[in-house]
Amino acid sequence: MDRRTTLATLAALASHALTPRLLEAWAQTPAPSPGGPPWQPRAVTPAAGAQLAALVDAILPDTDTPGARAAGVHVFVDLAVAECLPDGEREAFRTGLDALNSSCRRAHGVDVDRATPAAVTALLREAETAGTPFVKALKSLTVLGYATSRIGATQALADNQVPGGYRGCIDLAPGQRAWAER
Amino acid sequence: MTTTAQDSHTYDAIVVGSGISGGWAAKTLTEGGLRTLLLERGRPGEHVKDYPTAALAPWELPHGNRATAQDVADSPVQSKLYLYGQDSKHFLVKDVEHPYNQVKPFQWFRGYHVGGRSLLWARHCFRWSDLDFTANAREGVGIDWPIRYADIEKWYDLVERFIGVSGENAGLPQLPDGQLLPPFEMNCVEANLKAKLPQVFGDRILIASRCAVLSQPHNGRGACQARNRCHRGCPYGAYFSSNSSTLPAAAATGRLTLRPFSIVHSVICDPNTGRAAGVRVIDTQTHATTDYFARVVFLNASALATTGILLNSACRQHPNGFGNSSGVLGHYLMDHHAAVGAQGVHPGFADKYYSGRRSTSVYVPRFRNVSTRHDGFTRGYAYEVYTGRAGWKDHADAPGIGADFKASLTKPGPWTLWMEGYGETLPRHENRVSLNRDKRDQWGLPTLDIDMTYGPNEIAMRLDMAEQAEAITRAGGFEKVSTFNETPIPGAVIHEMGTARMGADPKQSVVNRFNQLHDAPNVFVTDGACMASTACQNPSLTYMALTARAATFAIDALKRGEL
Repeated sequence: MDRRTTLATLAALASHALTPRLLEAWAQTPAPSPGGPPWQPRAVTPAAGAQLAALVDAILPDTDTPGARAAGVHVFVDLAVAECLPDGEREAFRTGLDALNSSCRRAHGVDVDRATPAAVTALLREAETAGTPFVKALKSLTVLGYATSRIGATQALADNQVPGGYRGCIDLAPGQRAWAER
Repeated sequence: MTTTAQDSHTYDAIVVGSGISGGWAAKTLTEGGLRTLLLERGRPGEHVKDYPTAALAPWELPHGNRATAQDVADSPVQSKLYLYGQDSKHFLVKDVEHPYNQVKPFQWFRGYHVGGRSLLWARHCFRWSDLDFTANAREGVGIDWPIRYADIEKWYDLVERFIGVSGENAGLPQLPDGQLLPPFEMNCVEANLKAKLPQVFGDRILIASRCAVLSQPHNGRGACQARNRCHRGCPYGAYFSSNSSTLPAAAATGRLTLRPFSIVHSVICDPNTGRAAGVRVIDTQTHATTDYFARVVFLNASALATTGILLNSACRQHPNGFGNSSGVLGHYLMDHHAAVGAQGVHPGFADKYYSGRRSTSVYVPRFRNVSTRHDGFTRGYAYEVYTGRAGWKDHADAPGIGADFKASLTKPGPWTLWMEGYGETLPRHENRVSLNRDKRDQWGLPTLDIDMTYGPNEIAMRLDMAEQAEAITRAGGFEKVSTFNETPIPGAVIHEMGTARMGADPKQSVVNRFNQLHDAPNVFVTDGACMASTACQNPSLTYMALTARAATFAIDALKRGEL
């Protein structure tokens, strides 16, 4: 459901009219703009930021729907590391990212963002199997960031912000995706 | 003493607190003809206008709605609340600004704004029965309630009809039927569990919870749109809050004066009568002190804060705190206990789903110590049950990297069940709140020392709550069943009750059967503080019914010249 449809639905279903201010604020929320200024990471160096983008995209790649990089999840993860993680975990995240990149350099001679997607995927799988805490933390933030991104919530998942009512038991439609919100 | 200044500060009634019970006091008193001053310590808050996050999409909330490190530092307690997030944090205090003292661990969740926690509550509305009102007397525990179901039944009717409660009546003596709107539907695993439970257990059923969520338009408010974003404030007014319901009704009388940013410092004692002359208020912004006068005062500041005000109102006639000749003011603090239950996964129904997000639960009413006696504990518990198909949150920690992992996040997963017990807590004298005059807040008021633990009856009950949750889950055809029984932290259920308990005997209780202070009959306590026991039902409906009853009594008594 795109924003215009949602607004129309809201207006149609509201028996208590939403205030114009609220609707206006919502409508004016900027959509992601691909042509903006270059991204300046907050929690990591610009080089590590590029590596982060490659890693989130290996976790959730482009398939029939856009992947994590296209959804801006690397920006989300960096911001979450900067503002949400406690100090100790923030430092551990930076160290973990650095260690993973070092192992990429050892194995393939290049940084994560220059390695092939297959190589990055293999690297992450290996690290996950080894129980690397960094991969667990990264995956957790990646999933949260993707599922709550506009692309993730509206394309990979089923967005239905104003269902209008509850139906408890319906047939699963072919190709039905999981609801974005619960 | 009568001056112009005093006249402009004089009302027929003063209500302290604009949450669930204060809103009902304001509505009832103003509709009864009384010019009423409603005091709220927090900021103003208007229905719809002050729900800034209500219509935000998931991607419009910072950090995927997660708390920041700064949020956690500012609010180490509030940020632990299950619904704390970027969408709701403006409805919860910053702990650093409003300190209290945990003599033992106690989570005190608070929202300081007009409407209080009525904007955040989980909306479950169950009546008490005489099984509850007689329990203390039968067992010789605490003090007998001086009221019975017959005293409150018509007030439950009145409240339910006004607020709108959807749900399912079941004809159970321990959970009296109410005036209900149609229930929200069950999903397929819930309907399956509902059918199976009576086949396996003679004493257990599953019903659609009774919740103050509108399944159809009601009293000018809109029906639920199944967004499950209640805690952001509902722009449709589809769940009951003071803001959407009682305060507009009170304002419509033209007799309501709402004063936000107003902390009540104390009840002012009339030196001639020992009754309340009014209340002393501190403006939170200017720190200025102002006295307001009225013929009756309703304290609805929430259980702990109401008792804090009374304790801080000691005077010559009330040397141990206002209305505390019994010495029990502050004692018998209670909360329900929860964080115990079971979870499981259902193998079937892969071709079924649901549409919309139901903001209510399904419910297993109390079955323990109803018609037979359990050996291990007294009183009982009920379960809230939540089910659904696993989604991305449930898969986030599953192993996997790449396209398959992504696919697993975006397909409806297996059906899951999570059920949590809510148990009754016995009143005990040693569980108490008291004033700490050495640690003061930014307005110079004493802070509260909160000292509560759960007792052996609750601990014993919890073992059974976990066991029976497992049995019920298995009976519903669920697999991979596991139980949980976390150490319960008092306060965490946000059902603070007691500390100004109701009773017939002024030597053993603080308020009488009409919620009047025994020691000062023009002061009414109708929030959770008045409770003499907890039952296992969610308490807000009972607060509302007691408030409507007490406020109507006050209006009639004033008319008769008795107050």
